[in-house]
Amino acid sequence: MRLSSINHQVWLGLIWLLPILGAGWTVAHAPAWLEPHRLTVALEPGQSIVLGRETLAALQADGEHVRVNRERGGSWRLANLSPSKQVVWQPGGGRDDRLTREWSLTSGAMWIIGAHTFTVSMAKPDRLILQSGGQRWEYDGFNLHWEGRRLPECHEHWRTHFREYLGHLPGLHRGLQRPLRLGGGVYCADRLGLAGVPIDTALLVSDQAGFVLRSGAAGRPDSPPVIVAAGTPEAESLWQRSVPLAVGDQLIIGRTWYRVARTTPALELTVLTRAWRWLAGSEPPAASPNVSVQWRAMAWLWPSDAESLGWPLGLGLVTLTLGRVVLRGNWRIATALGLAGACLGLYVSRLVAPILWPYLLAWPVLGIGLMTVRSLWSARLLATLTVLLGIGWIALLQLATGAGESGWSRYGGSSAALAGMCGWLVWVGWNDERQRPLLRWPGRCWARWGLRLLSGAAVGLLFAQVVWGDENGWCGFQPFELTKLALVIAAAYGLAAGGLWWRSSKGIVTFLQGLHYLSPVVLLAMVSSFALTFLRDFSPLVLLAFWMIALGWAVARVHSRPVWRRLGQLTILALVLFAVAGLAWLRERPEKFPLDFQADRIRVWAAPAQYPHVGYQLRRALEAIHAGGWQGTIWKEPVNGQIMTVPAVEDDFMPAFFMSRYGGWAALALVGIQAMFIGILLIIADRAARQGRLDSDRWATPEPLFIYFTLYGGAGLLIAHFVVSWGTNLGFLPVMGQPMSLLSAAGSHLILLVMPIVALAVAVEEKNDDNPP
Amino acid sequence: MEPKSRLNQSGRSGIFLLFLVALSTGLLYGRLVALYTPAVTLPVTQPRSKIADATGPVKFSKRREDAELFEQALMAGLLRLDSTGRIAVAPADLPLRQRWANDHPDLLAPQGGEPDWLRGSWNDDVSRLHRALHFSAAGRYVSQQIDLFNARQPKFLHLQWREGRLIWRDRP
Repeated sequence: MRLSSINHQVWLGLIWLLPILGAGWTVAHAPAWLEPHRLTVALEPGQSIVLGRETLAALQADGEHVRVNRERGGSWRLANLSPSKQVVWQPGGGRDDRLTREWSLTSGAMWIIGAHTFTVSMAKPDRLILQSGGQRWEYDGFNLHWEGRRLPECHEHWRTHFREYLGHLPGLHRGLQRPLRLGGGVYCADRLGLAGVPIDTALLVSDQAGFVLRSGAAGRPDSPPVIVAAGTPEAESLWQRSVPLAVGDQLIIGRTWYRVARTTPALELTVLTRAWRWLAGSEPPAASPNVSVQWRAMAWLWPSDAESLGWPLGLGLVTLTLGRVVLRGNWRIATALGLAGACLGLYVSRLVAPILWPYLLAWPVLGIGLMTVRSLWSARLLATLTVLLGIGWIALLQLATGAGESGWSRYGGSSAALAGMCGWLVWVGWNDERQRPLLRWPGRCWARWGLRLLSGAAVGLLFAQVVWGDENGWCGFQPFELTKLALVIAAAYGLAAGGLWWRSSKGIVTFLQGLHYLSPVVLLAMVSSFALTFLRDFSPLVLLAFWMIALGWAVARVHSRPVWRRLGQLTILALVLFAVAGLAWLRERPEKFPLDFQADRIRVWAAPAQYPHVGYQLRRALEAIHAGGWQGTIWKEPVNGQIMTVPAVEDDFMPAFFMSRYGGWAALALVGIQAMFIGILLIIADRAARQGRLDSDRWATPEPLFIYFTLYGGAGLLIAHFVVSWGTNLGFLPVMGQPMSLLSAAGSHLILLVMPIVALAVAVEEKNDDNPP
Repeated sequence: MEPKSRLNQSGRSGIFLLFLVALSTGLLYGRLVALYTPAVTLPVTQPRSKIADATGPVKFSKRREDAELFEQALMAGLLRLDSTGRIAVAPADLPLRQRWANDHPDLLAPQGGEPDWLRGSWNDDVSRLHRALHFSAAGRYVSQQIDLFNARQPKFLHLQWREGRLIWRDRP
């Protein structure tokens, strides 16, 4: 039988099965890890014990990290002994994160820091009044007042003023307050300087009841003493404070999570996640005679306790009922909604969910998509997407199963759960559409308002990140990805709906058409400012440069005048060559880099050996890739080993993990499939532009051009992610901080940028298949 | 001749895809060959030719970043030897103290027994050095070494005395 005679769908089925085989091999080849399930501490009343890395099975804990006391009455208390690491305590398992080195302020209470004694005159959530050395200090959560004088801002910054302005709005005050930093040499809005006390030795932080005194980043047992409840029999050092333990309390020690399961007759801690794994058959770490550890195998399919099922089952049932009863959908739609809900539940409980569940729920929807599409090019696009997602998830599964610490499964699991949720929701939409006329485009007015809504949401979320979040995002999500999508769509809409300015008339008409470009220009300016002032990183600008080059190329290709078409394409090519030559020159002469901003990164990139600390990540990655060689280490060593010490190995440095474990040949295969994926996207964009074309430069409607520009812009951004990520990991580009699409654990990037672009391409091809040109 | 046109388009698409795959794999192959070649190793640290003037522009040097940072911080007065032979590090909020000394001298906290860190030169380069000392990975490493030096730890330290002055040694 000739290969060409095999049915097209059989090929697609084989492609879909290939990653399953890879995942099966990964599971079969996984080390036989044992994970701690319960720790039991047996002490007589009045006894105490010091626990650390081995006894707590916490890889990141100190050798002697906590002291556990059993008091005369039988109750348990825990104190932190680590000089530099905190212990987080969540009473009742709630979201109220507290530190063991923390003390609630009450009126009349006294504490001493260094040689300074403070008395609390008032401690309410929005008002703290302190007396020290005859001076009166007042703090409202934003500003410190000294003898009634409001102190100037320590560092004038628009973000601080913006936060303060928002803090005056009803309901936002608590969430925006900042701690008062104790120590250092100045008095200003959020610092109270103290002679002989380093800045950040302790902090005053507001909580629901008022304010708490908390050890700060510079607080050490050997730094100036901090005595709480001074002048009373309960006076003690802040560093030695202990907290009572009750059933249901949660603790984070090192990075390992525990829950108090029982306090009588012994203290029993359930290990929730991120615990030290141990190979079955080898000698477990030495434990104290008073501590016993119950080990268990990894939870591949069956959850270790019923609680990990709560979110997936709960959300799955709720959405199933919603689909069946409220939306009156058929069973197919209701089931897909239920599975989308279950995927969301798995995302929520990603730290404790069984390892394989997210993959098992997400993978079928890709198979259904492959079997459903009719167009050849959308099938090809989905097939390459399936292979790339499969490779990414297998690598993330290996990251989780080969790690010496549990909890790494959250990266691959969350990526698969989010992709599964999106996939099942698309399937719901697809089935719903099948009962109506297929894939109608929105009217011009709807499109305009939809675009405004998308841009508004993206900008709003970016602001939320600036106010509440940090450079890692906000609430575990990256609004920047949505902004990139909004930018791609706004620019495509401007170019398509602007009526292709190069052939329009002059005067006011040109001006009005130019307004269509206002939205993408404003978005571009905001995104660039965000990258430079908030992220302080130029890698997002490199992504935008790729996008603009791709869009410029796309515009040049459809220009009505051949001269401009050629000139535009030549200009783009010249720009690319100039950028490559400039980069090569900069590598030879890093000292010529004209800006102070990010100059360190340029130097590290040019000479990594001279920067063992700043260039640590790159050096470790290059060493791991070198050690992997062409074949990789996976075939001989099931345990991941040293590559796990590369910071952000699951994200920006996932390609280094891939090359180290699977080798150079696998990397070549991966980059080839990535190139094919991009190529197919661009071909679909070209095919879309041919739809509705009246002659060489006129279209019946702007939709084909909109799709063409959107897909080109989206492909440009994906190329940027691929190039920047390979460049970062292999050290040929001086940028960092971007995940590799479809390989790294980057849920926001996957569902907010990659999936919408792919969904648009598939929808276009399916529509064209119904209405061939 | 529509079928022929389609055939041509399909052929062009195939060539385009082949070109992209060949280009990307070729570029990566070249880079990987360079990386896997044993001769290409990370350059060995070379002796430093000249210590830059800490108050002048920051120059490029062939020395390791930690050695460079330590010596420049020592020269700029951000690290000082006290009477007991320990190294004192400039406080983390020194830039703010410098600014406050000009703008709000009444809002400077009393110094107590601390060294007077406000005495000494202060310009953009010293400020940059201070930032590196407190907020960079190299600075954290230098601080760790200073802590070990002050605690008189017996194991190998980069910081050592030679001919009456403190030096940073890259190797034992």
